[in-house]
Amino acid sequence: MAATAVKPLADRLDELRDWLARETPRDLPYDLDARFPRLVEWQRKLYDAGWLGYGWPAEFGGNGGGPTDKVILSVELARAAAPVPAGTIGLEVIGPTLTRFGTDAQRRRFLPPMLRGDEIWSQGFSEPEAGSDLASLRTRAEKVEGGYIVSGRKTWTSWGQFARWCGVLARTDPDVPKHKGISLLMVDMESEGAQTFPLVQMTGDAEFTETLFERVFVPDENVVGQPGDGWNLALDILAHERGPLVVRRQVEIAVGFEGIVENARRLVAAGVLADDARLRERVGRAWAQLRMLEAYAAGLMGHLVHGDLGPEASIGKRLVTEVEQAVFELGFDILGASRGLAEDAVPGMNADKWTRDYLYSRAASIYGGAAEIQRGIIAQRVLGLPRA
Amino acid sequence: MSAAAPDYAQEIQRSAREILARTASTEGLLERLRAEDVSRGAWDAAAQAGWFRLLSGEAAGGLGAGPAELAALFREIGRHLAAGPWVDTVVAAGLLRDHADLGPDTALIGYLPEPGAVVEFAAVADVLVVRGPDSIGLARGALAMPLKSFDLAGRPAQVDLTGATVEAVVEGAEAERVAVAIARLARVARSGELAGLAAAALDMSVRYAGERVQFDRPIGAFQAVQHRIAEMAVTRTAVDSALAAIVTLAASEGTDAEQAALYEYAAGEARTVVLSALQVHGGIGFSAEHPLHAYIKRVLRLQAVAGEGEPLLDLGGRLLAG
Repeated sequence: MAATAVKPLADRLDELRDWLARETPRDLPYDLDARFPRLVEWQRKLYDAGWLGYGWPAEFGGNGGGPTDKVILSVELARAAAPVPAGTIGLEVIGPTLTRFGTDAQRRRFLPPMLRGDEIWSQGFSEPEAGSDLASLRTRAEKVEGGYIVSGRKTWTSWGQFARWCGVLARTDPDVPKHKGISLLMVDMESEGAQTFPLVQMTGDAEFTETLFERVFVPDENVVGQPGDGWNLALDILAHERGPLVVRRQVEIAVGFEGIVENARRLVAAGVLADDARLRERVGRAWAQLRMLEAYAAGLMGHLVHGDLGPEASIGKRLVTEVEQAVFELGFDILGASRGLAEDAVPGMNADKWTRDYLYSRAASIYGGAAEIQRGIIAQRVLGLPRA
Repeated sequence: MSAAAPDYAQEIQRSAREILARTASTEGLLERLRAEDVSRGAWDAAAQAGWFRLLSGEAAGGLGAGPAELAALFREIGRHLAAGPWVDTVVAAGLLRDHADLGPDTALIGYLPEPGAVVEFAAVADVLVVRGPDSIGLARGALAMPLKSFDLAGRPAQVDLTGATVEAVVEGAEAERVAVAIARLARVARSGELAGLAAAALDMSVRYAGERVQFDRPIGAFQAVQHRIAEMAVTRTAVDSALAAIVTLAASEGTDAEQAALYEYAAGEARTVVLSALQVHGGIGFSAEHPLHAYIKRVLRLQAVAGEGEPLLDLGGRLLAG
């Protein structure tokens, strides 16, 4: 771990909160194409103010600091209802992988622009025919002089249309068992043969793309770890992102809940929602679930400090998903006759936002390993039940 | 209220687990629960280990521990399904020993928080502590009428104070303070017990699913069973985390309404876990020869004890009122 060059973030919380209260952009457009440049700007601002470097090695553009600094920052961003910076896939997925498994040359080349938001990253893991069974992916990387030729189709590439780089899992060796022949390659999306097609979700947003690689050349120095390490790197990445995700998401859901209670008061006052036992019980239960989750996240922080979080992170993923879906279902149901409308029957009710949030919450049991995959991990790797 | 080191709770947990494994083994659980009202071996060992002075101040020879240690202790009591008036003796008597002589540590204590309340083990209690309008006192000559119960580890009784004399040991504002502390810490203790019962039910289910063979393989190899047990582990974690939140509230300024709501939530989740355990065990789990039903009935009783009003609903009402 790099030496801490500056005062630990935990000791600067008041300063950070003041800064966020002052600087958080409040007028972001909803339209993604207009919104994205503002998110890049926001990331640069966070970086230039010295906040975003926490938890990253000082010699590669960071501030040093410990493994929980990044989590603290993401929690404070969530608490301030501040937007997630544009380069989130780089910051949360690819960057940590390069920090642990990259070469010094790779870290020197890729980390500084990733932190500052000068280069946005995407993650090319899932494929149309390889979702939960990720290891059966078909994208090929054929060895040639000085590098690889990558061909295949990826899907659910987060913000792929804005990404300069994509971390791609590809099959480099078709002759070994499927988990062993996969490598992680960093693909320059400005290369000839790389193309993205926006993929519109049921929320109406196009956060993802389908990404097509037609004979794209990737030089040897852009392989992360050793050829054939890809599957283990992917497991490591997914396991490492689960813990921080739970801690951050928990705060975001709590902020959402406050908005839902406020909206419920508004709707009760307007006479379109009954303040009855059913509503009260649901509000009380959601509150209890959030307190439960907050206590769980506090325990998780201890594991993140010690870096000893294993497959039991899947329990956290299930918990946060359950709470998220219950809370946003409440936020949707109180809209009553306006459920599913993008128009407000009562000024300020924001039916559009709460409908989107509800729909988005339904993805929580699908992305980052579906609920069924998490249950399999818990049963076999946490509890030690026999494989079928 | 606790000046104890953070790892003190872990130390309590280790020691409780070791003592209870020896004195209240879950091997032969049903025989133990049928043979004696109070798990006597565990009770005497507990007295010797100082559990009944866990919450007492140092002046009363106590350990001055707080809610975290209490939760750790009761999690083990729940896990081993040790029978006895644990909550009233550790919590109510533990706090009152700072004010009054309640006899030897092995004394069985019952606590009547309000007239008409059901008190566990009141019929066999050595001392009955009563909360009056303006005091807390020791009752003599009270009548305890045992209630029939499905719970194998509890002995509820209805207490009749007609003709009893009550000698006040704490009065006025101090009595109010102690009564509030008893209510809060009793909730911590019962939440701990729920967490222990849920953990035990999960462990039993994992073991059984690995041993029980149907269709030529252990049932735990079937995905339908695996996923049910995985969800039990998730819900068990929810109970443990709710317990942690209840401990935090007890140690801080959290309101009673919040603590009561979290208890209702935790009890509901614990119930889900033990009922899933029944499903995993199938027919044998439904049989009275298998110990599982003792865990289920204990959880159901602990959930019912919380049933004063509807805490989740009340809290929701407060939040909506702003």
